[in-house]
Amino acid sequence: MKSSTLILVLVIALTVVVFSPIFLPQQACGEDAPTAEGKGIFQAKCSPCHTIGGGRLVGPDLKGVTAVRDHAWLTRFISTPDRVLASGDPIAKQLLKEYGGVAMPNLGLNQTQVDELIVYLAETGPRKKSEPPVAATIAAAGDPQRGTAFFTGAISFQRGGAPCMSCHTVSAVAPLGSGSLGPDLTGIHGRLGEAGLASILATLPFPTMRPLYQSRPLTQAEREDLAALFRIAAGRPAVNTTPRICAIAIAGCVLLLLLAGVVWRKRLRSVRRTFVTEMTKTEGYQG
Amino acid sequence: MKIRAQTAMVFHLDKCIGCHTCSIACKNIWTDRHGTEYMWWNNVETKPGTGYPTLWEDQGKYQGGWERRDKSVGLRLHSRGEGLANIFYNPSLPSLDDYYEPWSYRYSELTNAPAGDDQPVARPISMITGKEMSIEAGPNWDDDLGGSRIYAAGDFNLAVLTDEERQQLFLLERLVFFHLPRICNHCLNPGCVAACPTGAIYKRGEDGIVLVSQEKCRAWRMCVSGCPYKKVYFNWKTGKSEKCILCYPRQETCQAPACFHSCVGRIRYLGTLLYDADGIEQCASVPDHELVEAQRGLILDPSDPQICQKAQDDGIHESIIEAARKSPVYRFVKEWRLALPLHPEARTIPMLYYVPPLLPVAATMEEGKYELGSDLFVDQATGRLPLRYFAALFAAGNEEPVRAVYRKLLAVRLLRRRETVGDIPEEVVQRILNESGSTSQEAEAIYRMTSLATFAERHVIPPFMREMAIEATTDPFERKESAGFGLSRPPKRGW
Repeated sequence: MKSSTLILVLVIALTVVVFSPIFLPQQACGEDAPTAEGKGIFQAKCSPCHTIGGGRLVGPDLKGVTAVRDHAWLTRFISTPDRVLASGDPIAKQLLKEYGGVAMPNLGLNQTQVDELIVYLAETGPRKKSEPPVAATIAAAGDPQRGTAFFTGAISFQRGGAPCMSCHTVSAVAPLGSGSLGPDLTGIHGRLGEAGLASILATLPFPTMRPLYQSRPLTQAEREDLAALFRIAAGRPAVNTTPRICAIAIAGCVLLLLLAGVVWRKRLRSVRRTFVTEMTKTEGYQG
Repeated sequence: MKIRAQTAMVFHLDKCIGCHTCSIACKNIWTDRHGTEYMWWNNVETKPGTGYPTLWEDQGKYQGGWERRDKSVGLRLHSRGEGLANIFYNPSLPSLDDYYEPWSYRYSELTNAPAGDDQPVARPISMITGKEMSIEAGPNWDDDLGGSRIYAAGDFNLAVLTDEERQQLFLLERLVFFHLPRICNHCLNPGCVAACPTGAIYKRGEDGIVLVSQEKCRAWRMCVSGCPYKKVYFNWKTGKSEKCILCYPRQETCQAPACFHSCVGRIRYLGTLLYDADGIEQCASVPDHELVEAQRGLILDPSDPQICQKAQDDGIHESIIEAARKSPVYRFVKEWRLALPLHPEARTIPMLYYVPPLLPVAATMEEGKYELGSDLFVDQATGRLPLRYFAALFAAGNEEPVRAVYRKLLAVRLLRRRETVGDIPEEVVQRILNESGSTSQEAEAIYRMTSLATFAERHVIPPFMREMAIEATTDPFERKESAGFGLSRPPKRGW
């Protein structure tokens, strides 16, 4: 047997050994406990915005929620929050107002999953009055200048996230405004509060943002800087840049037309008319 | 060598009476549509004159044709890069005013005018806007010598003459003109085809007729500038360019093109030429004074058995080679060397040749009466437009080929005068014939082809056998019992 073949065989053997755990069927851990299922769903779907006993994030702390809310209402809200909100439910409306108008997205859970989730939430027990909320906090040490630079993309996010400006706008950051795919973030600090802002920046839980930032989250320093920017921006009035853009577009168009007119001024100059004018100008022409 | 067949033409200018029947025949068949009012695929110009469109010969203004660039030729209009940069703005385009604004008259005013002291007149109205207009130019504006001091004096070819010669031409007694009918030259090296960014213009393989595809044309109008003869026109209604199609639908049923068919003076000859397609670039890039000779050299002798064999190998049908043997164009251009290309300096190798006119003859005023020059039939320089003028028109400024043509034309005249009038001695005729390098047999043949040729001798149209050719792709009965005119797929603007 040649040495190269030997090496090949060794490499294949090694590969099989190293990667074999991947190919083996995985043991589902804790399959006997329904709360484990519920915990998994909470981790995957709810934790970006909610805590259990960890204090308020984007949405409320869910510790003891089963005691506060009616079971039927809770089932309805978790499975179809959008529809409940649309139906004008007074509790939902109140919550929406309290949490800065950030509506809970439809998570697409089926009935079994919702039930398991509620069982898990019930098990966590009622909230103790003495328990202090431990929300994600953010130091007030951020530099709004750097925050602006991160927002506009002048400085790239360390882990490669897209600059906020691509989709959002903040008053007075860019003279002509910026992205309009996401909401205007000028008043975001006022709406979400310090803690909400901190948690949102840490998790960026929205359906559009998650795929973009899940693998490229913002660093602590970046979050602080952005929060500093939003803190300052909260005081500014919102700016409608549409008239400004329109005015510039019209002025630019007129300018380009004038330029084209000057550059191509010989266009449509008649050969015949020029020729006749020249010939009739010559001395001694008598018609 | 790659032999191809080309349907070529000869116009004998001495026979043209300037009646415009050809133009009308063409207009009635092809350009009697909205959007084509200003087009004259066939027009007749009066020379000296500026022509249609005005000053079309001045390539400094219109940038048509080719220019020599180190051993090859390049479009005068633009290089590829310039073409792309100017694609939305072609700076060398003739405007409607350079052609003329087509008009009609409000004839109803003649009968409907209220009674008054003056004669009612029909006011001219624009055929484009429908509004009243004042006529400033027309497609044959030089015709009646109206505005000669502008239009005739502005003839581009007069630039080669001295001031004195020019002034003499415009003395009332010496005022001369001749007619120059023009259609598309169906060139071997067409500038319009080269300038088209879309590839909508093509030269038909079987007979070399240059056509614009009405489906592919995208209205860039580079062809209009690229053609040095200004024979591609833009239809502003359909947004497509159009040009003379040499009545190929008529030719395919073995009829002569309409302008040939209707020619009153029988000045037009049509026939097939065999040529070497591999020699086109070389022929187009020779210096100006060699152009006429190089173009003659490109044309091959269809009675040479070797040429015939090669032509058949290159896919030319025997019947087309047979037509080339009978071609009156081959005789005029190659055999007798009487016909010359119009403005060969554009280097498009035009396939429409002209026999330059012996007329006009200028008279002089002596003792109160008009006198023609005494030795009019002997001296070609007396009493005619200067040779240099014709050289500028037909030989890129080289007087030699033009002089040779006139020698031979005069020799034919003298021979016939000796036979019919008998006042010229045999020796004089023989001497002139020798000087022109001709023989009495050849002169006789030229005389017969010029004066007595029948319709079938003047128009040798090769059988295209189109009815058989289309069977491969189309049902020959598809259009049976349909109208036979109009458009089966009307041209439309857009992409």
